[in-house]
Amino acid sequence: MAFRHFYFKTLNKQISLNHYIQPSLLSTCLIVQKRTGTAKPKIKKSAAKTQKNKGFLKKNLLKKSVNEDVEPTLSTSFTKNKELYLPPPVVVLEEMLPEVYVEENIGKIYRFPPEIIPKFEIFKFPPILEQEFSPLPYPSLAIRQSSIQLTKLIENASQKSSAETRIILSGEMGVGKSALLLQTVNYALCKPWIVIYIPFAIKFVNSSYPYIKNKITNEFVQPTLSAELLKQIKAVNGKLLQDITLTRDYKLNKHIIKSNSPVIGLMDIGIKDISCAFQAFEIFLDEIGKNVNYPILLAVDVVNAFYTSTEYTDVDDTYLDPDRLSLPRTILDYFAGKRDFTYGAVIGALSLCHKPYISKPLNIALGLSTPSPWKQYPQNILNYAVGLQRFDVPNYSQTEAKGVLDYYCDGSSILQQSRDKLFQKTFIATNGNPRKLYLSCWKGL
Amino acid sequence: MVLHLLGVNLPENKIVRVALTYFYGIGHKTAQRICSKLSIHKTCKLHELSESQIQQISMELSNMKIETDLKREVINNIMHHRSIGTYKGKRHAMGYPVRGQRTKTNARTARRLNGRWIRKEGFST
Repeated sequence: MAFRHFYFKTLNKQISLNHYIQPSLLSTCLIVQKRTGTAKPKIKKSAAKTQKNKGFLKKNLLKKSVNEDVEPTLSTSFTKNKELYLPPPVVVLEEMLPEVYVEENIGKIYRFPPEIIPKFEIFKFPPILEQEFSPLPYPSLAIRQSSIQLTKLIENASQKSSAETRIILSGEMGVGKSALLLQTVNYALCKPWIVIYIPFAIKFVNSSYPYIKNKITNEFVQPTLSAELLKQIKAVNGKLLQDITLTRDYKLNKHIIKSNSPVIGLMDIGIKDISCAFQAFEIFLDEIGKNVNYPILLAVDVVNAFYTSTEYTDVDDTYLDPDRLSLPRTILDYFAGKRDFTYGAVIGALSLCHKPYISKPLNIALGLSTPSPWKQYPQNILNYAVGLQRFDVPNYSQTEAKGVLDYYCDGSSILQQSRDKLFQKTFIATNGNPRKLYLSCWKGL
Repeated sequence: MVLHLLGVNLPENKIVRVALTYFYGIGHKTAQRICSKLSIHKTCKLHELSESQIQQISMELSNMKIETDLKREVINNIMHHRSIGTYKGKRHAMGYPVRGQRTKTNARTARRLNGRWIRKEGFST
């Protein structure tokens, strides 16, 4: 108990307390002691505010200049403090135009043209490739032998019906099927073709969009998904679609659209009135299929999702097959050759990343696996897999792998080892598998 | 925001399939069956439903035995056993396990829960 610091004013109180305190503890000087405590009144600081320090890591958000053809000075994904981290070195890449798909350019890296990148931002990249593009300054891919072969097939298809060019890209996991499809879509967009690109077919069948039963056809329609797809196609191909007109009158619910009006009017009806969005989409595909001016590319990634049972349920709580959903069924009709475009091609890419959506019937139809004599496979799905051409995508060759590794080393401040050693180490360990090569460089073996 | 349906408050931000389990008498299976019958997709939240869909759900639920009706049926079944003087009724009344479990140790839940309806209603034979 501290009885030392008494205020001079409280003398009376102190005298009463003296009864309880032994006289030896008291000293006479205490009674008259003035306040000498260390507690001082707080002095308020002046109004001048101290500047806040910016902190250890500051966000360095650069505005993306997509439309301008400006050489990048900093990576758009580089957000770390400049004083503490070196920015990655800038690598100047040429644009991936159709002329670039030539034998001499195998192993060279090209970036997507600045006019095409906004179109990919509308369609969106496949989720895995989007992650792979993030450490690089801008989305870029290497020209491979298979990209040249596929673009030659597409070039031949521009004068043939789409029923004659129905290709499925197959191969091991991480071999570059989605990337190859992306390159083909880029080629078609530059040409120009009318492109319908679905980067992630699983969202059509994983019960994430509303669905309504059509009692007449016994099929289920996905109105919001159809409207979203129409909106994307219109945003990407708007300029080309203005030249295409309807061949006859159509009536959609309460809307009537006359012949010789542009196809875009039909798409606008589907986008605004969701209840007739799927009907508008079907009529749209019919009409653009008839046109002779522009070939059409229908590209679907993770196409195996359309060949497995969906997560949607029927009225009696059984899982629906994809041919009971109107939108996947329409796309499957083009893959099966039941409907076609006058000029164009239909390409799909398998994906082994999503195990529940690996389709045994499709693998059997493509010759990737043998059918078991003890199992019955759904005939309705097998019917949609007839006549598909298989296109196998191999691992990187040595020249391709070397070109890609050189780009990773040039574009990073991390990979500073000798390139020959790095190439030997990673190529032997990964056997040229593109995804494993990417991961071994950016995350270590 | 909260949606009031048949005497139960359902939080609007919940997925429909999960929100329906908030009713006494509806579990995950029946909730899934109701959503399939009305063609409601798996990731649909309550605030995305239209008025007509909510009315359809309430019509479906009113045709089922849930909430107070179900509780009354359970209580009536127990009372029936007590009134006709069966072994089961006696066990309920004494607050012991009914289904042949051991009582030397471990009859905690039975002691806590059994017979509360009988004691509440002041039932005696």
